[in-house]
Amino acid sequence: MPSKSSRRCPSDVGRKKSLRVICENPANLGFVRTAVGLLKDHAAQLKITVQTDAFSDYGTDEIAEALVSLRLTDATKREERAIDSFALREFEKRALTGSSRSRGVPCEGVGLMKLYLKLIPSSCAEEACVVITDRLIMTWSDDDLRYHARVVVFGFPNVISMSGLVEAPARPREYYLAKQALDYSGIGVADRALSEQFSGRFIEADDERTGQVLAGYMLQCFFYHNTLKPFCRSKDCALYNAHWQEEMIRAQVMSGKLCDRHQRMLEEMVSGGKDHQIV
Amino acid sequence: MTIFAKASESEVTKAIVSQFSRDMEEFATMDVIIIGGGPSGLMAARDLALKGVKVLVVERNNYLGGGFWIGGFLMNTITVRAPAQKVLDELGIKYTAFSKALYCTPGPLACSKLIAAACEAGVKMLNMAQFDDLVMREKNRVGGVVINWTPVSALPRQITCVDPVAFESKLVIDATGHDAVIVRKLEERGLIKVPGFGAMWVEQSEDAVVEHSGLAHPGLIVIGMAVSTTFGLPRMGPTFGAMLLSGRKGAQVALQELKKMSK
Repeated sequence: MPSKSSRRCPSDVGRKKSLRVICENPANLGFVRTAVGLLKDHAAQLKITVQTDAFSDYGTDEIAEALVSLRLTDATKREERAIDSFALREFEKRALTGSSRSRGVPCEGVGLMKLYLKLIPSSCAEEACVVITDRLIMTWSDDDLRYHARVVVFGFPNVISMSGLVEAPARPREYYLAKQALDYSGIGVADRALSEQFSGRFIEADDERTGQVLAGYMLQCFFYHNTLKPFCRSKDCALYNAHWQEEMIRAQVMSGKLCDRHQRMLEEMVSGGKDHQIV
Repeated sequence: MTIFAKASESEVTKAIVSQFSRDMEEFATMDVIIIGGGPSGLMAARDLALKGVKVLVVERNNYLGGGFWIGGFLMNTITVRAPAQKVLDELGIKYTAFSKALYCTPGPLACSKLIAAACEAGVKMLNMAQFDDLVMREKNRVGGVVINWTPVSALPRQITCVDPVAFESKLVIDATGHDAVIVRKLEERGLIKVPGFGAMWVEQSEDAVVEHSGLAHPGLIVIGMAVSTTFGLPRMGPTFGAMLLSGRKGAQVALQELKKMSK
């Protein structure tokens, strides 16, 4: 469930042979390392830098206030945001400097990407850059006039949401029917029981497959930077634009590979061969 | 020959009064005052006291421990989700594994051990006293609390002209559960806004409480279920891991703040 940002930094147009991964919260580092290892399997020559302290100097009132202003309170109201408060700013400072996790905090995705752009070092402009955040990123859709949770917002930098991996692609249709039946029965939403009933069919928080899924989205980001086309139509290619958890798991866990065409493209990109930039 | 040594009625009274008087003098100026003696408040108090911080817990009931005595639906089993069982280990509380993620312990055992751990660490307790108001300093910084005896609030209105007393402290911690009485007092004064956003990850409510535990206003830290009220997080089930870890997080934040103040 990605979203393409309409605005891009001018310097991001052009071939990038390296990938910089900024991990906002060190707690996600294990999954990021797994993903980086898998990316190296795809293309050993791909240079990847992982950074965990990129925002550590930005725990300021100004940045915290900007982050609070991106918090969404109602998915159906485009402009409605959280009320600024000392408590929320303090939380945002801790989240930005890695001492608190912002899992599930709904945040306007394009605004967040623009904010990160101000914070990341200018030297990153020569690389494909991905920020891994705990926040639940959401973008507005004019189709149905509401916000939708996203796994990734493409742009500079790309933003991948760890909460989005869990929340954005839809779970199996039967899951929602079973949940609805439980709601109506008055038993309540037995999330754990449903998780066991549908075990393996969707990604949960701290799921052991998270690193594999993350690798797929990192590849999409890398392709976006180099070709502006992050997706593939093949359901078994890691670049498949999954709208369902089961599609995501199929493309990025069960297959975990690029299709032949995209594998060749990747190898050419990182080896400095044919330029696949498409504008 | 009698079993007990001699002590007159008046001596017993004098002993109680003089000790209480010394305690109250000490309470008048503390490093940290925690309002609410439930699991999060006791945990924060214990961690702070172990670091040499002067801590007072004010509890409105006669008993400390809040809801930690009972697990849910009047049943005594307390549950904690991993990794909070490590805190039980630390406190010497025996437990059994219900599953690899969930651990059970009898409420009376867990609660009494936590209270004992806090007391042994040097935490001061004032029970049957309740929060009445805040002491405010420059730029609306919280600088202490105004308290009164709990029974005063139960007296008939015409005889309740009982003035409270005030204690000063460098930090105040709101551990008053869903009521969040200190945060609500600040809201009443127009000094804080409870944002009321709805977190969208119900399964993560315990995590969210721990992650949001921290400064809520200059001089005020919020922990436990008061965090839920302050930030509008979803309520949790009858499981206590987040209370223990939220208390611990609050203590860490308090130590950082005290360090900043001492510079």
